[in-house]
Amino acid sequence: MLRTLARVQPALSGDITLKNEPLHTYTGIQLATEISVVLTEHIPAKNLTVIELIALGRQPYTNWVGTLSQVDKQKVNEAISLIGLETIKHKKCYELSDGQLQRVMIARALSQDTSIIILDEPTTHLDIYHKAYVLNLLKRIARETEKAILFSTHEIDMAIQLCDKILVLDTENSSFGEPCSLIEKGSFQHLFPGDLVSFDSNSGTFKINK
Amino acid sequence: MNSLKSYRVQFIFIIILLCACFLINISLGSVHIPLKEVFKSLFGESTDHQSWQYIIINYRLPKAVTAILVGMSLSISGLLMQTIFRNPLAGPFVLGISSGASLGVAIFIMGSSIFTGIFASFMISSVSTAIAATLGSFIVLFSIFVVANKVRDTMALLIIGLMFGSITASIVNVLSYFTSKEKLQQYIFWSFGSLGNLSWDQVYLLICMVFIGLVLTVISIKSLNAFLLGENYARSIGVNLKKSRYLIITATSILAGSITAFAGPIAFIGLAVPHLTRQLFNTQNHHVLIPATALYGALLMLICDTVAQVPNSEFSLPINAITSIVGAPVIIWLLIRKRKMIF
Repeated sequence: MLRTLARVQPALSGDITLKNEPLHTYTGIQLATEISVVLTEHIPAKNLTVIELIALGRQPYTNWVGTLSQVDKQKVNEAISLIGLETIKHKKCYELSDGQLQRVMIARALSQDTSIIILDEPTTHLDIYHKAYVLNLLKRIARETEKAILFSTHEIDMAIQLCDKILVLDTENSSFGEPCSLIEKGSFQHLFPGDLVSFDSNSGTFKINK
Repeated sequence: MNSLKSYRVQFIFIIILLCACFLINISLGSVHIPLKEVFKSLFGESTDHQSWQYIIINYRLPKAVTAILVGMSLSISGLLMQTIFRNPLAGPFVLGISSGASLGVAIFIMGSSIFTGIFASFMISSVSTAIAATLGSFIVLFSIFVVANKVRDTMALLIIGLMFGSITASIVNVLSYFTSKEKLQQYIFWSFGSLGNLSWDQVYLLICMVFIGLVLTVISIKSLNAFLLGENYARSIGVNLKKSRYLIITATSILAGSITAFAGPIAFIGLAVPHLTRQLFNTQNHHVLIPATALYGALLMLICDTVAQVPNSEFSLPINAITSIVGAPVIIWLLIRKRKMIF
């Protein structure tokens, strides 16, 4: 679904509109100034420095050879300082840990200066601290820069604690709303088969059945 | 991004080195000509011997210019292919350009004995060989373009290019099996590659082709940098994948194709020079890499050509053998020294 929203894959059915315009009417460059993405795939070029990688997010705005203007450099620096990457900005990508690399990829999306950022499972391969760190960072970005941040995740517990709105995707009936109202509606109760885990609506977490 | 400016010293150094190698290349050859006389003839003054000036202007100078063009074009097209296929083993010929050219020349030289009468009236000269090579690589490239339109995956395109290469190679094998000894030798000599067969008219034509290829390459710099993030990210920052893929393939075909047509299938340079440049410049930014690979390619080719003509002797060695003998140890040494491949 996220891939379709980001126009990586064509829609199976239905229409998508962005700012009251059908998504397919946007040109590649126009879309690139509205939606930026953070994907699960690894980037093939690990020898880029952090700042070079983040600067690539400015491509929709640069001229035909891709020279960075003063505005571009400023946007790159804003993204770096917002995410706190100053200390590692001249490091090469192969020197970074998974958590650092994920933050760099988020900074790249941020420097693209779009109203929407779409992230595909931004917390995979991270330990619980960095999972919380990344999700908290996303929340902070959404508040400070007033961007819409859309991500898919398997960390339902954390999403309940941090997200403004959640879409619970189930094969039968999917539900959308604020975390609290979804808990009240019991949307999480039957998400998984009940033999191993069950949802505790008081704490908003899943418990393993012993 | 690290801009070109931060590499200014390296660039000035290579350019000086390139000029020096250019002069050395011109002043050395099977006939000994004093350095002073070389300068004289370059600047249009009369030399002590009429023949010296003739050798310099009509033989050595076009050869050195060809060496520079060959080095530049093959290294840049190698870099382009390595970037869009995200594969360090890709080179200018992965799309079957050289195998197409080989097929064209093989049919032209060796086929004439089998299909007697059709080609028999042709004189087998360097110009008609070049035409045969161009036709061959054009046919293979055209098939690649048709296929590229059908497949979405760039990796599939790489495999298809290799398969086309295998098909043409086996056709060449079949032809060689049935052909006469002399024709086979002629074909083998072509496949060794040669820089010295070009007249000034051909050099001018080559310059035009390389120039067009370079313009297309410069236009693609932005999308090449985007391809460093992978195709999905590239699309997300507004790159038109299909258009830039065609643009890059066209640039490669023009660069590598025209070189192969005039100088034969020169191996190794296209594969090795991009690696050499990445190791020495430690960057992947194409703003820096493209001019740097072009200069290193020209430099390496001039050095190889100087070695190949074996100064002050009557021999000259096949250029294709020399490029690997000179270039491969350099790459191996760099990889061992840095202990890490930069790609």
